[in-house]
Amino acid sequence: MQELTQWLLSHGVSISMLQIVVFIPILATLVNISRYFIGFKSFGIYAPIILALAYRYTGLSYGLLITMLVVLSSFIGYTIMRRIRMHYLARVAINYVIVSIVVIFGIALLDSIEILGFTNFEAVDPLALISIAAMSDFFIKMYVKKSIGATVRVLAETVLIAVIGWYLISSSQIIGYLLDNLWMLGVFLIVNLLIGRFTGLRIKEYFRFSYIVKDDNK
Amino acid sequence: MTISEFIRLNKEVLGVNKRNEDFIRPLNPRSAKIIADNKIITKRVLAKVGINSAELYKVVRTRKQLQFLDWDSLPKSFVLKPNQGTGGNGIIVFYGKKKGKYEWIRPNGTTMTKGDIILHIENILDGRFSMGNRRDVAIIEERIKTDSTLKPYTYKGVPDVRVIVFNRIPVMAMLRLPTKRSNGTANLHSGAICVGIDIASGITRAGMYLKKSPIIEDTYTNTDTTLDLENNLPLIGLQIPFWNDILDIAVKSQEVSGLGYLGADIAIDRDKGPLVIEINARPGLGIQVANKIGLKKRLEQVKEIEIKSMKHGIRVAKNLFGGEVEEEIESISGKTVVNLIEKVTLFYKSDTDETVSKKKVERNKEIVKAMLDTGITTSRIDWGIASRLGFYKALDFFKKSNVPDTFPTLKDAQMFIDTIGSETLQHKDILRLAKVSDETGLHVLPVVEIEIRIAGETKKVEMVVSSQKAMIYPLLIGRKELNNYLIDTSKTFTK
Repeated sequence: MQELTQWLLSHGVSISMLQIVVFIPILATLVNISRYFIGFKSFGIYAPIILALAYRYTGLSYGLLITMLVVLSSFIGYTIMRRIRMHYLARVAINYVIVSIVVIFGIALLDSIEILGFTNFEAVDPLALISIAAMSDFFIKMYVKKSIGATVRVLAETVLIAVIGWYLISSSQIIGYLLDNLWMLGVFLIVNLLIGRFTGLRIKEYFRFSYIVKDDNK
Repeated sequence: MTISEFIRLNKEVLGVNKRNEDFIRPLNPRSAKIIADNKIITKRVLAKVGINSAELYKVVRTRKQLQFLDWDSLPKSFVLKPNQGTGGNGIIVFYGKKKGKYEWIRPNGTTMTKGDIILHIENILDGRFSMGNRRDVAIIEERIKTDSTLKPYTYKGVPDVRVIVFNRIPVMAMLRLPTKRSNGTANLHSGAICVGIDIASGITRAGMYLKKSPIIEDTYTNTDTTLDLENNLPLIGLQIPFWNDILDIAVKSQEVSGLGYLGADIAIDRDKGPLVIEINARPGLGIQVANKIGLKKRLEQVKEIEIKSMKHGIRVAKNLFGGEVEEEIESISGKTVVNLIEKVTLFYKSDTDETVSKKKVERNKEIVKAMLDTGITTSRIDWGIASRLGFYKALDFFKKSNVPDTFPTLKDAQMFIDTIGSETLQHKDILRLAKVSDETGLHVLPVVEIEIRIAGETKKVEMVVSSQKAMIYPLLIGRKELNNYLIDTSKTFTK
């Protein structure tokens, strides 16, 4: 099957392009499994995919650090602004301003504290940084409606899925195998199709509903 | 979790995947979802079939309309809601208005000025509370005043009853009580208590609420009483008022909305009775935990049944899903739950005199409908039946004794019993004489002892033999015999 890969590479598809195209099905399938099989709620399917891809370009530790900066600044910024009555989009815009300021100065601050070892921020891809900053929007949109507990929970689950995704797409064995065997993309198709028809209980629901079948009243 | 619990979970409990794939997607068409997701349309559609909902005062669709809103025409108390809001977000209740000011008072005592309200309406219009942040419409509607039965169980807000209807059958129901933690909303996820309801009787079963835990979601805790109230009340055994009306409304809502699987939220207003708050095209699954019963099992039970009418659907539900509550009450109170009208077995007089041959081993008996009447002390039996049961000689003897038909006063009756009655009216089957008062006057009647079987228990009961012809039920069981029963007034027969 390597012929197919070779053929694609010789017809205008670059190797990095091909890599990303292979990453997406892996990540999308992962999110799908997490949602319908395990019961993780993520901020949609886009957020964990983008986050996992961003982590690949920033490195996991830098990526998680930036995620924390973004979330923390959105949370603090929004909590302060909550008291001020203003239009909804204005609030979101101010939030972006605050996130930008905090992230830039946060990076500078972390860089200056050498003991932490985060001295290589120059190497972080700015596009990856923006992708992570987009989490702010997802986070705030949910926080506006739901409690902080629920929002943090979904955020944690999104990041967890992203980290697993990052692990999968960083494994040269998995990616190498897939690049050589592009027909595997068809397997992803079938797996997603099967999950799409899955009507059993999600793993989390076994815990949620275990109370119903417990024999404690007899 | 044991393996058997795991298997039972799979068999009985409805999960999100199955709910979406097998119920919501195929049964709730887009046109019906549009009705359910839009409170204004819901109101209109329901009104067509005579179902009440909170009265709509005003609709604000644009900023222009907001500018020209007539604030003076607003009543003192009202509710402001996003038309397409979800999960109770963006709803603000106003209890009153400050005199002479454009300032309204909220349940927690804080106030909102006209400016604050305008801003909130603008947020609603911007779509901050609607599904997918779509632009929305603000509605101002009547504030529902909680019914007096449920009020003592509620912290501030309005409690409601959620009924899941599928195939015109009310499959499961729960009562949701706002708590301090839920901030007066009846939303389970904000911390409201939910209480399972027995479909047949409308009597509450056990209560539970979501544990406050930021990390682990959806962990439920049992509670036997309400929370955070000055007087916390037990949650088990509460009769939901207007129960049958609520079931009717829920089923009718399903019929008229076109949703195949829906959750109807019905509140009970002090003045207007049951009002539909909203209908849900994607009702949550927490109701299973409140009832401690899986929905999947119930839904599969009724899937194939062909329902001919609304009444039929409700009857099926009551027969299939009712009754759990009785066993629970029995185990709590040690008392048997009986119906207002019970079938009672009456045994023929046993001391074998000349009328009954000794060869008859099995005693003759007769089954009659009896009313459990807490308004009388001693039980009463129809004259004719008492005669048949073997008391005809005693009754004949009584008749021949020329007892006056009526007595002018209680004193006269007592005097008659004390003097003439006790001296001359002596018969082995007549235990004593009793004074009985009814619409035809005051009578003195004989009391006999008859063996009966009621709710599986056989006992000897003293009964006044009544000569009155107008007895609707030939047997009335009085208070003396009812000590060990709880009477369920909603049903007439056990079987």
